[in-house]
Amino acid sequence: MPVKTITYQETEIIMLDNGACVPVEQVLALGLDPATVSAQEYKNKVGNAMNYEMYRIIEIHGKRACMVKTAFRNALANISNKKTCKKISKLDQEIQMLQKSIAETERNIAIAKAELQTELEKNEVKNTPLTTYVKTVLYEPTLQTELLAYYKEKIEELEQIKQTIKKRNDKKVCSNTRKAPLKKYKLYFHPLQKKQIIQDTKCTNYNAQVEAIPFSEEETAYRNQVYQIVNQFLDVSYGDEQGRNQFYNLISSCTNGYIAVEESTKTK
Amino acid sequence: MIIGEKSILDVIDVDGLEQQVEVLLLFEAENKQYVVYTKDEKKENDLVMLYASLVKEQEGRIVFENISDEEWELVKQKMREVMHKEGGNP
Repeated sequence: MPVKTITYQETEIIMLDNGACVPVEQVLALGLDPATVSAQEYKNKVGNAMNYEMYRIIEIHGKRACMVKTAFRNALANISNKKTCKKISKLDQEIQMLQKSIAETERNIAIAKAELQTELEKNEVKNTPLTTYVKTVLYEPTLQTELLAYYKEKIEELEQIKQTIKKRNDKKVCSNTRKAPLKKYKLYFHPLQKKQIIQDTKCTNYNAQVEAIPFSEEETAYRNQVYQIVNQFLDVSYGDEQGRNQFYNLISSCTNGYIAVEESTKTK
Repeated sequence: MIIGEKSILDVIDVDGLEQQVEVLLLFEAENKQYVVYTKDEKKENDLVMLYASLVKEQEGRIVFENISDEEWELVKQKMREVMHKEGGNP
């Protein structure tokens, strides 16, 4: 029996009877009741439900540890943060400089074109050779255009590096806010349907209802992902324990814990 | 680098329990990658637990493995070095 519920890093977790702390959403996703789950039950489920094919998992085998002052820990974390910020700000500076060069080059091209036009008009009247102008003016815009293409290419390259760094930072934000989608998406099971799974029956008539309030593009994509998982389940008859675990496994790993599997009190 | 720079990672311990850890330091030495991370386990006297491991990739999974005494010295030295160099001395 869980002894208490506490909040850790914005994730509600429960302490199991062996002292281990586990996220409530994980317990729910495994089809276990957070109010009554035992460490053994949880371990049995988790052991079966780990899907190593779905995403890369980091495992810890043994560790070397030390106690440090919290200030030391925070300073170490800040150093990593500062490094990333420095990188982005340096890239921004480089992009700014390249943008200035582009503006200058574009001005030069415009001037050169205007000069060329003027000289052409003069030559039409005077009927003199264009050699000098071709050499000094006509070639110059070509070089400037090449320079412009180079600057643009360079900016694109820097923007890509910036995006990579930003994505890496966003990963942290996503991890910290992973609880949020749980409020919006819940996969409900009708009691009879759940009973059907528990009784090891075929699940071909299984019908899960996805309740969602999705209206951004991202949310719609997420809901579709959930439907896809459910459909994948419907396509296969899972009659045994392995099958059920596989289903829970699919739900929990594909949705990355964003979804709670609950028994619905609603009637169809 | 097997794993990227600082981030929050979901890890599974030897008992199969999933938890989140914060990576504080990643560095490479002799073609190996080492990580210093924390689960923010606070103790009395304003102390917090930091862990150090060797990062390896095995069959598509990332594994944090135990390190030797020599490697542990190397990690501690690296932490001191980084703090000193970056002016992070608390």
